[in-house]
Amino acid sequence: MSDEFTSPRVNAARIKDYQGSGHPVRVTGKVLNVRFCPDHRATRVAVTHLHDLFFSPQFSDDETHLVMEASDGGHVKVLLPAPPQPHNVTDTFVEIIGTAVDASTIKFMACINMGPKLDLALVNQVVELTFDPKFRGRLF
Amino acid sequence: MSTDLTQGICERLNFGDDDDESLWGTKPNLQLLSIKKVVANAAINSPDNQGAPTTDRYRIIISDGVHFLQAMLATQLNYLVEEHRIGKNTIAFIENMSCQHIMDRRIVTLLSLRVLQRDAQKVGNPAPLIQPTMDGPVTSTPVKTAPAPAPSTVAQTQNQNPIYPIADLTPYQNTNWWIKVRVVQKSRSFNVILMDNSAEIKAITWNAMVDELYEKIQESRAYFISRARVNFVNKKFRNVNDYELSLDRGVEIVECQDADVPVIRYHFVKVAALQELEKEEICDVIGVVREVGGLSEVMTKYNKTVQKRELKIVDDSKYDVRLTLWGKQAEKYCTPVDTVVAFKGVRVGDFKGRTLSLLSYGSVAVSPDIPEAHALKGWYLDGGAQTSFTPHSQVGLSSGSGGTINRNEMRTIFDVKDAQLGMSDKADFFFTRATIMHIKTNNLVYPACPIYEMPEYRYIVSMAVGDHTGQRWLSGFNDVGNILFGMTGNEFQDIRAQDEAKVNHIVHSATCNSYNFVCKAFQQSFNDQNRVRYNIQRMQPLDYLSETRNLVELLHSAWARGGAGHVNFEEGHCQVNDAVDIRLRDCETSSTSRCRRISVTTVTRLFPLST
Repeated sequence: MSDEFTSPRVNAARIKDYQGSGHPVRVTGKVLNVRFCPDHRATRVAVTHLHDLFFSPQFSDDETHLVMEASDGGHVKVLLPAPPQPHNVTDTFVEIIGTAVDASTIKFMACINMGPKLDLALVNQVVELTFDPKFRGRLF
Repeated sequence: MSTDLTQGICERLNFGDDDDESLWGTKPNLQLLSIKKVVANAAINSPDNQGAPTTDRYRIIISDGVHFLQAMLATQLNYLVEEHRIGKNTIAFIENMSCQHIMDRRIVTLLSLRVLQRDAQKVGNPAPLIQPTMDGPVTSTPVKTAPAPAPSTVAQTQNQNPIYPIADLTPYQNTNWWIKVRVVQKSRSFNVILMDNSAEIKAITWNAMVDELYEKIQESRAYFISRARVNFVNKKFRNVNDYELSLDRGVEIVECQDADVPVIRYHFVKVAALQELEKEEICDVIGVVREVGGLSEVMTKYNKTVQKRELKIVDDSKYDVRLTLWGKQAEKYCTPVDTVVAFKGVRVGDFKGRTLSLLSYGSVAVSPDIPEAHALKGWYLDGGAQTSFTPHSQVGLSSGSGGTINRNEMRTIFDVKDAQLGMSDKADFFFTRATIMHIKTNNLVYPACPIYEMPEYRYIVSMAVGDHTGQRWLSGFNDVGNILFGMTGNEFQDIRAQDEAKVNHIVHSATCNSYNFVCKAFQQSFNDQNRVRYNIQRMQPLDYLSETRNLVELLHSAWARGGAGHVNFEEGHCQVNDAVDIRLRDCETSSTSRCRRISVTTVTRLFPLST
């Protein structure tokens, strides 16, 4: 498999392994909120766990981004493309494909909507299994 | 119009002349004493009737208050009976009637009538008339014979069926015979099974005692009984005891209030040990009910329907088995799953392994207060529920919940061919999970029962399924089609008749889905060639969540952990633990290391892909 077309599925802890490489990765998880600049329009996203709203001083407000909880519970920020480019994040559970900007930020490339229900613990097990040295060689 | 019956008309109709216009043109008031459906039996009727669809005919007893007479209802009036416009004791104004000659008898036929009073009291006390027997062509002189009993050894019923003497009945003929008999005696009886710490015995009562004792003796209560007669009994029907009790007049029955009442004694057999029992053996079982099927009706040999319900029970011998309840016990069963239930009096069957069937005199005890039940409950709550049970029978429950795709017995497509399933004389059953690659589009539906104007269209599906090891052609029938396309055969046919392109679209969407299959592989000879065919017994859409959990568990299990670095296994069986028995197959062409590839399809299939 050609390298640039693979996008390994990662959780929050493993993003740092791909940081800065430009290699796309996938993060499967739950969308927590979306923050948008007042003068941009954002599509409607299910806002859950309002008490989990992740306001960190380093997030600048002039980018459109969303925060999601990855399969291992860690929070990941996803930088959404500036409109007029649309993004199709509509469901609570999504898989975001993108490049790792830093250890906890992904730059959005594509999104797969996964519906309202997903067993994140199971997802995490699968993610960890794919990195298990015993099986890794066969997958990538 | 008054509802008085036209007295004397029956006698006239019976003895009158066929040609008597004034007689047959009369429009009397008659009471329909009884209406009986008679199905014309094509096999017995005259040859020119064969092949014609059988119609119901209704035989009616008409009365004028003085006499009663047999008559037939013309078929165009059948609706009156079916819509309940006429019934027992209906008084009707007969607008048109005629007589027909069948064999040597005259049958009055009611061609047209008007209901005067649908429900009425029986009028008078009508007496029977004797049919005059006609020999030769009809004469014009009326025949008046004194009513005399007309015995004949082989008389005719309304339907021309021959009547057999009782002495000629044998078990070897089929059940189409008729006998004409008089009831000499009628009695009622009920029986109970009694038991104490030593043994069991059956007790019967008859007639008058039935009324006295029926309420007095209740199930699960205890009694002191005295002055009952002990009889020998035909051991063929029960293996409970050589004797039975007869509860006649003079028997004394006193309810027992003691605390130390004999309890029901069970001889439980562990589910795993059922394998050692022979077919037809009777035993008791106790287990946790895991699955309860729905109530269904089945036909018995004698064209009677009986209710049936299937359960699946497990116990701490780590086996599970199907148990069938019948009749009232099936209807009454309403215990939720995961309860301990004891079954007394189950018969062992060997249908595809071992199955159990509750006998009519067997009993069901929910959560009984016995040590075995407590032990089972304890085991079940303590993790027993999570055990993988080995089934005694390969096929899942016939109705209701789930079905039992046994994941431990899953085979890959390659395996199916390699293990030569279906090559032997016996049919083999197997489970597999595969994806539909291609569905043959010609002849997907056929009209069942083409004679009807509105035949029901049923599916017959031939499709190629594949997994990462290979591809096979399977065939399935109506159930498979329903699941595949999500619509009934009739709906499919409607679309097919209107729009070919849409059919292609539907078939296209049905392709590339994955299912769990229970299949039957068997040999079939086709133009002198023996081919193995695979029939789909059951097809189930995948519950990705549980399938994935299973796979993850597998990957964490000892099998996956074996060996550091990469996994190396030899071809063949690999016993991992008690419950899992996996056959591994090579997926790569390399001859040195044969490893089972953790299939990429199963990982990516974890989530639905958006297309």
